Amino acid sequence: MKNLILNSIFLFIFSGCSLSLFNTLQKSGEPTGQNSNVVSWFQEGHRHYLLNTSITLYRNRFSGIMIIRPFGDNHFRVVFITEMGLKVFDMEFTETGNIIMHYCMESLNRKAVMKTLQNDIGLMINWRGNAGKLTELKDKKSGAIVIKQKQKNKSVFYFLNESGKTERMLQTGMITKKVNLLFYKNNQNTLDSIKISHYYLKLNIHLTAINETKSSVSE
Amino acid sequence: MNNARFTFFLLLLVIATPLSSQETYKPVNDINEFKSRLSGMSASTLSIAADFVQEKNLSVLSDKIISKGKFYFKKENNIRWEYTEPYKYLIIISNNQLFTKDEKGQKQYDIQSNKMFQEMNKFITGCINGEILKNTKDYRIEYYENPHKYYVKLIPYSEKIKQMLNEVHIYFNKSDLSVDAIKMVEAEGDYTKIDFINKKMNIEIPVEKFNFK
Repeated sequence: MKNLILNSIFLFIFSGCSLSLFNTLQKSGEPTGQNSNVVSWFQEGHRHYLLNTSITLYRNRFSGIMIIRPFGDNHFRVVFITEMGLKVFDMEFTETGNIIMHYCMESLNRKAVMKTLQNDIGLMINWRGNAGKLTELKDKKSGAIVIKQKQKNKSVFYFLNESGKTERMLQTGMITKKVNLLFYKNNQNTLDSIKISHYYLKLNIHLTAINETKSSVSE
Repeated sequence: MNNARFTFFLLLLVIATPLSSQETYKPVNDINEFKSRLSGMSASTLSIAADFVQEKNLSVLSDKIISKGKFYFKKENNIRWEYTEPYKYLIIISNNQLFTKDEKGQKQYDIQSNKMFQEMNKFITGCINGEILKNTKDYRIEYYENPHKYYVKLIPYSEKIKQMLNEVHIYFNKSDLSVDAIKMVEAEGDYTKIDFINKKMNIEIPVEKFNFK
């Protein structure tokens, strides 16, 4: 009897798991139309994106330039350099679901740190990796659509704006929120900035899109 | 007709060769003479002000990333490196302090208490005043020249440094031995090249330029 009660409690806690974090969301089936595919802010067809980046880990802050090169729908190369041009890390997110570290500065090359950065950057560029299928959810109160995607033992919730672009992304574990990403657009409906924050780690990343003028880009 | 064509191509070769040789470097004949002149120039240079254009070349990108800014140097070891486009970033080195400022905030470091910053300071000032050429302990140094420039290639001995910087190239203008460009080459060919233009030597630079405000 005791086991039955215990098992029931566990079943209650873990079933619907991450959904329990959002009391007002309910499933509405498989996403259709523009919601059937969450579109990355970093799309193929663009030569590259430059982002002024500030990373604060506990009381340490360091800055640089994040360069994102999309090669295809789900293939990205991300290079982080200092303002003076020194390479800090260079990673590739492949279509086959692998992350290749081409280079990492020795002082930063700690497994836990790189794993976290890979996770955060993968989320930011909307790299689907080995993600599962999408589920559409609806907010019972506002009617807003939220797309949920299962990724191994985590889930990602995409809160879309009126143009179908992600304005908020939330990664959760079984029962806890893990990483929150906020995307801000400008008047031209292109990316202005991104804020990434962790719920249980003092890590914050702030990225601002750099507008390169013609004179700044050499053909 | 054949004679005319032959003469035309011969002329083309004669004209083309000197133009292409401006970029071709050969080993320096008298390295000691160059080093002696450079020492003299370094001793007599009290300040430098210049614009710079930084070119970042990554093999993964089809375009170079260009940034621009202003550079100031004042004896002894005061440096202001200010990026103005397409991003704002400032580095000041003065009185053994390193100050950085970007759009999010600023930070100050004590160079003396941090070996990495000491090395960075030594590297930057050494590239600007040519003192780095005396560092044969950490670099293998090769000297080349063409009619207009000296080109010095520094190859680090340390494998750790080589992982970050495979080679450093410094280009000195032959007329006044000021630094025209610095090129930092990484493994696999990616590089950062900084060209100094509109150089002004030994002008009065306000001390405020090196204050941390």
